[in-house]
Amino acid sequence: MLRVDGLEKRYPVRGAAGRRQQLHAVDGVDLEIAAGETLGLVGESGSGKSTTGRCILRFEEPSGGRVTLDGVSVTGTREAQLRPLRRKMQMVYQDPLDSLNPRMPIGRQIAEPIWLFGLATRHESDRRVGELLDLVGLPAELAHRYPHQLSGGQQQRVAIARALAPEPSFLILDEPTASLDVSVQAQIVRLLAEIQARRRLAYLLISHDLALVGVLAHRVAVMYLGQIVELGATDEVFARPAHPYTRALLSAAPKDTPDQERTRVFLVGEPAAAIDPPETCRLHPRCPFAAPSCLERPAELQGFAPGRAVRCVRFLDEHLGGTWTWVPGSPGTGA
Amino acid sequence: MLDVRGLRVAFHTRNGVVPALHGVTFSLPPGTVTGLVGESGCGKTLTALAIMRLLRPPAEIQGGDVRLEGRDLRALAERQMARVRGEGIAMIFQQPRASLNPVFPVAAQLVHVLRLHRGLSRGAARAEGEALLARVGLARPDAVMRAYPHQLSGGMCQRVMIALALACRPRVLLADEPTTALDVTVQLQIVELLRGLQREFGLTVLLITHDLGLVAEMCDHVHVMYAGRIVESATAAALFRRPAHPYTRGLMAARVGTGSRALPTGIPGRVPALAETPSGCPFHPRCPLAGPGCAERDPDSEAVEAGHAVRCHYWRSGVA
Repeated sequence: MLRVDGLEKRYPVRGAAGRRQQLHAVDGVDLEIAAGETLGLVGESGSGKSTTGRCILRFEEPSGGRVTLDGVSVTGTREAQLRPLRRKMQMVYQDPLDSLNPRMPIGRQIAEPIWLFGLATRHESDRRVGELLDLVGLPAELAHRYPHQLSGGQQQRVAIARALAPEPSFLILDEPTASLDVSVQAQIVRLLAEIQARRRLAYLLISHDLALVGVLAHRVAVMYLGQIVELGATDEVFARPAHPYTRALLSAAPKDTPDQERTRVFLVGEPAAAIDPPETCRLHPRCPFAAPSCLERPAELQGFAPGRAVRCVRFLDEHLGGTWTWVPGSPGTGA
Repeated sequence: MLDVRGLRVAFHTRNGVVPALHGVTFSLPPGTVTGLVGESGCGKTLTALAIMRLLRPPAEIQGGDVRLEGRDLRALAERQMARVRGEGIAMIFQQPRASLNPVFPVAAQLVHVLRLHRGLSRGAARAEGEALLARVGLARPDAVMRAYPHQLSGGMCQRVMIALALACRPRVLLADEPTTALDVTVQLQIVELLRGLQREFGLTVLLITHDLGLVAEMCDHVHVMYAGRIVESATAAALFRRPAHPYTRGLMAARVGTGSRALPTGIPGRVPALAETPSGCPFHPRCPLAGPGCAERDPDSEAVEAGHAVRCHYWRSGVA
């Protein structure tokens, strides 16, 4: 359905003494998402996960790589001819007010993409708007309201209805619950899962929230400084994370109850920016498991089990060498 | 240590006086961490600002008692209160960078506080400042001293903020969502730091948060707030073992457990806006247990067991 090959986005920056340097925001990302599937793209701020989403939709021009949707090249299409493709790929943002027009009743905002893409007559579109509002769990009377008259949860439901209006086959969800209250987040999570089950949509779920990814995503890709460092089925990655960064992320999630025991993996400091980064491991300066051998060769994303891949020199050496044990918080036989 | 009794705060609006805190009562036992949990608009930050007497119009304290070690803070002159802020009670905020002064380097801000509140000389204040920065886990305190807030990462700013709060050796620390704006791995570092400092200095902490996970990590006691009221109070262990209020139970069910693939259950409806707070028990329109009387009478506090109180007419029918 959606295929991303070697996606790159670089920004020129001025380094010390005005030296020209390149920020590798997205650095060779490969992804595949099937119809009806959710891929979780996880990482912290600056990991490049949102830029990846924006490049896939060509809200930003990628510096390299290919994106294809249902066999049609997104990256190879001229801007002027992108429209029919854009109909099939829509985005839901963290803050619903980013994508809603404050001065237009919400019914018209949902109807607009339907007319624009010629999917229905104006008359018929009223009925479609009613159906979409119903699908996202809002009463049809709300169509005449303005965004500011709705709660945050209702606004996000409207943003989802508007994204679904042009009948897309692929949806990018960029932190779709992060701006909502806890009690409302759960409603939106359920709604997204229901819609996917009904319409067989493909989702790219961009989030820093592992718990959210854990319930919605079938597979997960973990990003660090522009690169995917681990990829696999969500259950397997969560149960047996291979990359030290994935372990640190999973172990950092707050406990469910006060008496829960949890082994913590601490990273040193905070991520730097990927400015003219080395080919070797980018986590190395922060990694509690770093060894001198980590810097001896480029860190490549390599498969090590069916459906799973990791970008960690030490893991790959020890796993393939048979000395790896899956003790939480300790790769290999080390502490 | 800190006792808050019947605290009432209201906003003056064009449509009259709108109450925001309806008699908030709790105390912070010395040397413990107490959580104040609730969603946006429940009044948790307002409570902290009222304690610190930092409310500005249109918000106004309308009644109640705030005592620090028996001293009535509402009766103090503004000059005395200025000393209490910092030496008695210090506060750290969600947006550390916004809480630091952008036009002064860290050194100026730390030295200023240390000279003002602890009467240190410039040189001694500088040395003490560097020691504090080292204590909060900043690797190169001398470099951080020279830096401006925009040159530091979010996590580093929060560490500087914590150093500033500790500079006056406060007895009580109010921490308002201290990790919310940070990345997950940095959140963990700050939680560990706060826990370590709390033990080392025997600090009394009020942790304001929307995140039950953070409560599970850090708190000894918890108060759950909804629509300007404390609706449940318990030890953290008891609250997680046996949540009694339907709102608390709803919040727990709305969380996604780690390693769980079960979809969370939301609470129907939404947090009410201040001006449209429902009559009686404010939670009744969203409540699965609501029955006769809930729309008319705001429930009084009832004991679930010793040290565990709940405000709900029907809590017994919900508890397993």
